[in-house]
Amino acid sequence: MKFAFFKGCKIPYYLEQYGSSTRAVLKTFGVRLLELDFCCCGYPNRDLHFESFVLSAARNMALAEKKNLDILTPCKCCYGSLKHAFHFLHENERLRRDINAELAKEGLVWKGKSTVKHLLTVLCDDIGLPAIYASIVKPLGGLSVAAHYGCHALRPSNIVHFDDPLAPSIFEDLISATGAKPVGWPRRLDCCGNPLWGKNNAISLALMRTKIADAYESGADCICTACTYCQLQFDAIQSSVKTDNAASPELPSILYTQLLGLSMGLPERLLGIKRNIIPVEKLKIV
Amino acid sequence: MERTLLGSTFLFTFLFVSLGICLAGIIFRIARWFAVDTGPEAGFIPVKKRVSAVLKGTAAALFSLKFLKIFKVLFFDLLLQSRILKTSLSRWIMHFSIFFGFMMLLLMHALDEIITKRLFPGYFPTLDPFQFLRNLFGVMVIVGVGIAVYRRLRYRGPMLITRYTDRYAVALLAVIIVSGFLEESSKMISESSFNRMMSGYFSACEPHDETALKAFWSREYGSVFPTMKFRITPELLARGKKLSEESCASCHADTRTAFISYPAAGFMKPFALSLSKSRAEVWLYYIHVLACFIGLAYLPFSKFFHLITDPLTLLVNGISDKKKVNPLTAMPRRAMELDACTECGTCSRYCSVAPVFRMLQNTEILPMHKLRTVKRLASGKDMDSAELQIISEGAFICTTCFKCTEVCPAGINLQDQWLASRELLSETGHPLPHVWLKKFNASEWSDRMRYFEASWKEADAGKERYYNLTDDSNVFAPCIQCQTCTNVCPVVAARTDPKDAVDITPHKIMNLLRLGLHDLALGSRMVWDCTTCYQCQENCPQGIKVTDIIYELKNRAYEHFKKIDRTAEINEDPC
Repeated sequence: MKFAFFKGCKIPYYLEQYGSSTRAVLKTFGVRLLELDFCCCGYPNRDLHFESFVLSAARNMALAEKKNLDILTPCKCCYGSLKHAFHFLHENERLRRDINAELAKEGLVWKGKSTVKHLLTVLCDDIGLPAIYASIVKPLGGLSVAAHYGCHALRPSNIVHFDDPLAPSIFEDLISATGAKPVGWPRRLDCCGNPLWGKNNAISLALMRTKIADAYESGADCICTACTYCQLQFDAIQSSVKTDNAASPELPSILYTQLLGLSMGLPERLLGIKRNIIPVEKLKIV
Repeated sequence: MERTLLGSTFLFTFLFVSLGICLAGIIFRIARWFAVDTGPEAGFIPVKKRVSAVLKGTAAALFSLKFLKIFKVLFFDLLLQSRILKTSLSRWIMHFSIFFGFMMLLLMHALDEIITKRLFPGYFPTLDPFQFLRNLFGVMVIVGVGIAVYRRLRYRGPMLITRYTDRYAVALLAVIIVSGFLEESSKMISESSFNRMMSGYFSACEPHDETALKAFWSREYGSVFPTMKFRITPELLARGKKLSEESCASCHADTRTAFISYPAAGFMKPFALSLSKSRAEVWLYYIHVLACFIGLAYLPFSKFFHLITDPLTLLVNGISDKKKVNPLTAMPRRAMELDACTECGTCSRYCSVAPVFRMLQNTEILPMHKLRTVKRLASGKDMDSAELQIISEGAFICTTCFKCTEVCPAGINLQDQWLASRELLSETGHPLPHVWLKKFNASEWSDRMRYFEASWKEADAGKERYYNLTDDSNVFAPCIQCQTCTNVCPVVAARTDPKDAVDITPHKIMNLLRLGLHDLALGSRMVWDCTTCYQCQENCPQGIKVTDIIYELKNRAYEHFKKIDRTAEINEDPC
């Protein structure tokens, strides 16, 4: 199995461990990842200028198409952005024509032949749960994990086709495979707040804190994410606004690839465990 | 004429003046690194502290165990220029040819009295391998300069800008190298030079010896004797060869190993007499040497300054952690980096948001242009609000993906430059759009909109859009105002600020569109505080694309509001 690995903009500087742990985990399943000359997925610019968002996303898909590869991205915002652009290009002929005219200047064309997949889908469907169960050498028994779904992979379901938008289960299934126990929590499908970070920090933090409190009350030891932005929100940003308020406890957040990697017995260094700002050591799984 | 520098008072004076200008220029420019404010730290770190922090940091680095890192930078980044090779082979060939050729010419040829002679006691410029190498290095520079000129002619546009500094640098290099070759060639065919050498180093034993030597040199080494006529016989040549071996060979290799100057001399032969008479080799020598001195004096003020700034930048950033910025040394480092940029355009070519530039055509999106702007801002240039607005757009469209920092051949910590300049822009009232768009509430924007631009719909008339959800009543007319969208909205639920609370909720936005009050929907805080979580759209029983509508409203609002002067007062009610 081989994919074009779409890391997105934030992993190289802000969340290296997501890139390295994804590579480490997928390597053991024989998945090869190829990094192309990708640009931004277009998501941050969709707020300001529709056409630039579509061109950015289309360029990335066209690059993968040229190599005859499907795209794998570990980031849910990149995933949503690419899927949306795919949808718009597919349904709007005039848009497709104009974007392709722009792409042609660098010898690219978007035909819609490359599929965009999120990391969790590749793990669950392409590699398959049986193979994942078989790879576990250190089951993480006793750990209660709150699966945070991430909005942009889940909704709108008619465009992203990720899982059932109202009752998804893919993330819990994957967490169960590691031996950890996924907890049920009412706010699992809510937004992490990161899209508003830097734009309206009060609301961004309110959204984050509501979720953390909910996960905590539901008995979770940690939150588990499979999205660059969600992880940044629950790790770097949560720790940067740390308060000593006992009512709003700090809850560590772990990337799914780190969780899976640990249960597969992969070396900590590759998983970048120490790079997490809120230490996950106290979970006693490392 | 004795061709040593020290022999000419004129050249000697010129050299010292040039050296003086060069040193003074370097000191001036380096001193400025400590004086200019290049970041948010400006307010609380005085110049004195910056100097002492840099001195301490340098000492600490030198006495630390970072030798391996320093060696790696010196060998791979500086000597082999691996950072250029990482992104482009052709650019590496170009740059490495110029760099290596020029450096070797400097060390082996220009500084031969100081370096080459000491390393090789038998050194003489007209001996091999030096003669051959000089031609080889010269060719390397010419090839490199040739590729540079070709690239600049071939790729014009915002990705590669050619300024007068580039032209001067290329022209100066070309003059130095070409005059050097021509001087060598003109000497080869100069009868007067030959006679001068002969009178100094050759004494004839037999009457025909002089003729024999000249005959041999004209046949074998390309010398030309326009004023002489002789019949070349095998005996004469044999005698000439013997004499040449006795008197000339200890200092002169076969001129053919000067593989550029020799054939060039061949082309010059028809003009040999006039060239020799006008002492071409002398004035070409002057052109050659003076061009070098001018280059020396010009160095601190030209593109050549990167010979100093780039190694320094590579070293400083090579041994320090780019992600952990020391606030004490940050500003001098940034100022140095601003001088280290050669505008090679690598950053812009790899920029993650370059496609956005292609659509918006704001060059401030491209890192190479942005850095130049940062430099202008640092030098205290006054810019009006409209210009800062354009700069701010570019600064905040950047996704800080770190790519430009990774590919910069000069090792500039561009990431830090962007983060610092964003802070400065925010402080001066030009933050990211989501923040400045909330400066006014929905009705205030609506007033402003009407005041400056009639109405949104009028301004929008005739524009062809790919999607027009907000203008197509079929899209939002099915809304039954059931408020599901508002009830599932996490932002509505999270709002605690009473100022925000009175603003419009999603179902009210749908209602405004139904009432045709688009202008009011545009500037609502709900639109700019939307997390785009798609709960409203997913849950709408009528299948209305609520989030997509909000996205479109953001686009339209940004498009119109960015043209409106946010600082202007509006006194009258235009209605």
